[in-house]
Amino acid sequence: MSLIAAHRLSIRLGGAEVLTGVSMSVAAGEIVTIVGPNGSGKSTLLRALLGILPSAGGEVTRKPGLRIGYVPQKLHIDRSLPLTVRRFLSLPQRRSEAEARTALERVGVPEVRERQMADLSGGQFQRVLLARALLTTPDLLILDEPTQGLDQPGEAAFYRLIEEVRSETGAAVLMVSHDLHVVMSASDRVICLNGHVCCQGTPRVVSNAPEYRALFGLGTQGALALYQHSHDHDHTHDHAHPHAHDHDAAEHDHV
Amino acid sequence: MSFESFRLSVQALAEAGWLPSALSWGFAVNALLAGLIVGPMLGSLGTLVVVRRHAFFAEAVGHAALTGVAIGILAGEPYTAPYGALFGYCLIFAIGLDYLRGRTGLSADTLIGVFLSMSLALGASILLILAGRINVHILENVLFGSILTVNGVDLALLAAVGLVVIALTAVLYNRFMLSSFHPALALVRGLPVRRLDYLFVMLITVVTVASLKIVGAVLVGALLVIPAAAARIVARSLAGFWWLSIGIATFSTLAGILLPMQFDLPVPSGAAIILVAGSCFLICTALRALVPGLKGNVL
Repeated sequence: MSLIAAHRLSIRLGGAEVLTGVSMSVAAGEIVTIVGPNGSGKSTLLRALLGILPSAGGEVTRKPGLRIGYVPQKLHIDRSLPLTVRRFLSLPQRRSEAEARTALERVGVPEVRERQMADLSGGQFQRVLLARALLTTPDLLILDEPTQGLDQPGEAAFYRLIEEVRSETGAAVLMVSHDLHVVMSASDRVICLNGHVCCQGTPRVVSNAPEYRALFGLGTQGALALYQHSHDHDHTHDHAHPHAHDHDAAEHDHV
Repeated sequence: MSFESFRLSVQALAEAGWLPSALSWGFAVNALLAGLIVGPMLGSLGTLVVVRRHAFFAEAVGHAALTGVAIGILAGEPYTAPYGALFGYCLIFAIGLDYLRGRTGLSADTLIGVFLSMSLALGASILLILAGRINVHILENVLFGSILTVNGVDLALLAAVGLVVIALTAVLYNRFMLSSFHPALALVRGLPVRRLDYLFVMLITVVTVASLKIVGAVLVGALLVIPAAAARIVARSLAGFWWLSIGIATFSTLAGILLPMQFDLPVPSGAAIILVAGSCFLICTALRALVPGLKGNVL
């Protein structure tokens, strides 16, 4: 039985139908990534699954008692708010010293415990958000573009951490990502979204699907190159233009 | 009555020179007791007002109180305590405003600007209609606060409101904080963000009306904002932020009541309170500039 599923889900935002007839599900322990161009409704789908947005049609079903840990898209924090990491972890529910320490150690930043939230680097910040999500011992982690604003090594390290967490806790992971490269290496299943589900399946199946290639403008050669070299994180491509991979991704991987 | 005996003993201590001589007057003791409730209440709630960016809203509710007073007098309530109209009108103003936020597509400051001016226009019209019937000095007291007018009823009301507000914020503080900080995160945790929002604007309204006598309609919003703003400049933790805001608000209220009496200045209490709070704010900005450890978290 799946942890969470959407059945022919439609969402309207301000009169416009952002999602139409979306069906998808996440099973226990798997890592599912949603990819799609800007405005394709990726974040909207996450928000609907989280129960923040009302649906205009279809439904969302959750396994009874499902615990979700949510890591929002780059938290906009008021930089002058005097809030320590330790205190942030205790919002809204008080957490013991031991719980906080364990969670921060799990995500690899035990040293920031007494630091101000505003003083954290982008990578530390994302890890603290993840630690906070892990405190609820979730069955499902939902992450909305968790690596936005991180550099390449930071991003790769963050996805490795998510895989570690998954194998350690058994929590399923549902995330939205722009980064096709990492998606191909770190996901069990990929859902390609553009207002509706274009295609879904294992990374290899999706990267060969004509719908996916039409959407991202990837030639067979580029997509295959990406997939085959995806365990190698030493690359420097430009995120703003994923289709730039078309011709030179293979070379980049060996730089 | 124990309150009477308490006041008499304070007056006796003041006459003997143990306490500031101003306290030898009964009304001063009343005012000071009111200040001891108003300070912590506004200081504590103020931290949330600042984090939730409700500063302008708090100001607007204070100004709505002026119209509330006008409606109360028009409806025949006593000049000095038209609480029925005050609570009624201000709650309608605040809840109506909050209801329309998110339903009009307008930003909060625009919507508050519209409500505030409509309310002031209404208040001004009613007050001019009433002009022949009321003593203008009542208006001065409503606008800028006066320690002379605080009586037993006001104190009882203030104490009741103070208890409710402090109990609710103590229980709900973390929930209020998270839902201000990141509403989506709060929703995922199952917090009723929208209902918390309504509850919060109602708290601001009730606190504003109850503090009106001492601080005045024009300046009560400022006492919700300035101490918390000052505290945030220098605080390094949420707890420090909260305590410092309460400390500054309480100190400002008490000093604002006592100083004009002590030095025989014809200054309304609200103005004196805000001048003291404003000075604390300036001191905090200076501290931040001078103490290296406080500069850390500014870009």
